[in-house]
Amino acid sequence: MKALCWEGVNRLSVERVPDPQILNDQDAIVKVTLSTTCGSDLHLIDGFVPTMQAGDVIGHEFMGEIVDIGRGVRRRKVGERVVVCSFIGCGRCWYCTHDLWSLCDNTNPNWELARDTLGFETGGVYGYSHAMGGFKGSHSEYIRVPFADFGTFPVPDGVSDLDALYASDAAPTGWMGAHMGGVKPGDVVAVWGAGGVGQMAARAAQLLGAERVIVIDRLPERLAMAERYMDVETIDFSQTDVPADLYERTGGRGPDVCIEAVGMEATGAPDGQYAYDRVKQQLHMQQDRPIAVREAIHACCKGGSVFVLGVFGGMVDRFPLGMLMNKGLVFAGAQQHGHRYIPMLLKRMAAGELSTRQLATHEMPLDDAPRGYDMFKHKKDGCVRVAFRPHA
Amino acid sequence: MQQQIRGWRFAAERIPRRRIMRDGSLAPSAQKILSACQDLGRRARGMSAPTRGRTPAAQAAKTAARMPARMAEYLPGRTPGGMMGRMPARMAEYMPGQMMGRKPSRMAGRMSARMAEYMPGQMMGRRPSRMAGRMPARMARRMPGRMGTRMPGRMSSRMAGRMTMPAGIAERMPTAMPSVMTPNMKRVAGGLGLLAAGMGVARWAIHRPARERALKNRWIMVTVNCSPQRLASRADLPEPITRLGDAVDIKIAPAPGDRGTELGARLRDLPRTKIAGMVDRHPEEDPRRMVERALRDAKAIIENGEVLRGDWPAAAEPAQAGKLLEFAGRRGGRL
Repeated sequence: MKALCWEGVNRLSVERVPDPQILNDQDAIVKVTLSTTCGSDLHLIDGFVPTMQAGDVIGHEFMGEIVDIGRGVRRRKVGERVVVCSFIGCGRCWYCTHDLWSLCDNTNPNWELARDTLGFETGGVYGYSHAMGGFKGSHSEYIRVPFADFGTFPVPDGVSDLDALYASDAAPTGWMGAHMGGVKPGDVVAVWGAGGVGQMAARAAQLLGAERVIVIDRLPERLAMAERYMDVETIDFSQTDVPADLYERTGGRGPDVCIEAVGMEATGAPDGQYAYDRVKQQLHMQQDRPIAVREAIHACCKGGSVFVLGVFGGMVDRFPLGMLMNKGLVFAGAQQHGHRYIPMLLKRMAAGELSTRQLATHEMPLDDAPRGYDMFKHKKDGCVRVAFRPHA
Repeated sequence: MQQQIRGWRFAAERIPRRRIMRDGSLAPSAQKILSACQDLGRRARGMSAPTRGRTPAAQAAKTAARMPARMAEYLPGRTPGGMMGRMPARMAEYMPGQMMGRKPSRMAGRMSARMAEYMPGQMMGRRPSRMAGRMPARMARRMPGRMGTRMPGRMSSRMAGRMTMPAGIAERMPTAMPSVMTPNMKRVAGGLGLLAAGMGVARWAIHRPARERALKNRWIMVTVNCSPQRLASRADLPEPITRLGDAVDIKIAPAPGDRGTELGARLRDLPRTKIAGMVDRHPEEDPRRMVERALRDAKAIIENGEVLRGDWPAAAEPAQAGKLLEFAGRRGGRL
């Protein structure tokens, strides 16, 4: 079958790879109908995530049709149109039974490697390095889905493929940020990053009752999209001092909840932070550029909450721990616990409360995936997300 | 006794007549004052070598004179002059002695009254005349120690009348001036400090505990999401554990809260290795890793009925960076 393979730093190509097989009784094989780029893939492409191997298939946000199931699969059947959560959860360990699905104990076969490189093991993820399980990614024609009873979700009839696609990762990740960040009616919420996850976090905050939502980015087309589809306020961080602007807009308090949806490759800080972090990152003196996290901590109101959705890999420098502590902030982060939210999100999509298809600014066949990633990485042509159709 | 005498002797000159006993000797409190003043004078003479230009003490005094108001509240002793220039108001209330250097008259001229109220002795150095001349009466009233005894010149009559030292103050008056230390003494003290630190490091290096040669045989634990009754006996354990046979001890205990059951195993005998830590660096050869794998597999079987297998085939070959990072992770610890 065809698949998009990581061949090295900034090198992607579409290759022929072996077809997936059912290896466990609870596996299913899904024919991928749509698979999308995600900002966290850029960390792999740029070489910031260790334990990648040449030939690894990338991609983790997808939907499709079940074409085969193992004998242990009870709740799914062949032919179902499903969206698949990007994290793999067994559904029965303590973490899964307590809705902390991305922390699953049983779905990372490379737990030793993960422990040696990251210090602990997460649950498995499709197409996201060998430390995260070494599972093949979704930018391919077919994919093996372990624990299919828990990881696949039938798409309601009224929901289009393009909407359902983002229920795989962007929508539940954004929802988790707002939900676990503690958004409640009347809150002012600021979201750093107007990519797919950031926009979904902003929409989730609205649906959870936030009175005002402020989205921060530097790309005008993304800010315009956020304004158009969600009617939120926006800040172009390249034109202003973000914390000062937020204080001004919030009566000097700062936002009640700050959601960071940027991650380890943040850009653009006014006081040279970017250059500092960039140099240290290139010299392997630190793994991440936490510019947006720092800014969120600075801007958040006293006693507020900061939630980190962006992907980070290791150590950072110049972290405002004193401000975090003395402001009495609640600080948290997580990989997405998608299984917890996807059924609810699909219902909201069916009810028309949540639209995600606008995120797919570009669609193309899988053969054009390297070009699609180039557009996505360099934000060409107003690209927010590219959706690939492997069978087009 | 009436002649004008400058410097430390001035204090002695100002000892009131009522403190002179009939036999011509001084009262004990006055003797203390005199003794302290003499001590001050001796020390001052020992440091009075003429220097060209502005002396450090004079520089410090000038810096201090630039202090803004509310300066002295909580400042500790011997604050550098540059910092003093930026000190906030209310500074002097709790300011310990020795701080201001030796020529603070201009500074004192700008001190607030409240500042001086709690100012201890020795602080102001040796030329307080201008300072005193600008001090308000309230300030001088409460000024203890040697300082008040030297207020000449432009003091108001009311102030001067009260400057004679009561016995209680004289008893509390400090008798030494620790800030007076020659450069050589400082060097010797610094050298001794370094020597002591070096000896401490050497002692630690010699006597630190030797690295354990034998591997620590800890219990390896997992927590299984099931009730303790399900793992009541060794026979209830799945195959990955039973396969280990008598090589391991098994421990089963309920986990706190609703977290299930803690299942542990420990090797009865650790293999001996020639090089300490070698086993640590080669996880695939570490028998403890095998035990851990067996425990995790057992947990997966108990919870899910099967152990999840990784995708096959894996990628052809690790990329160069991946190889390096993998190596770093395995050999050197965590990223």
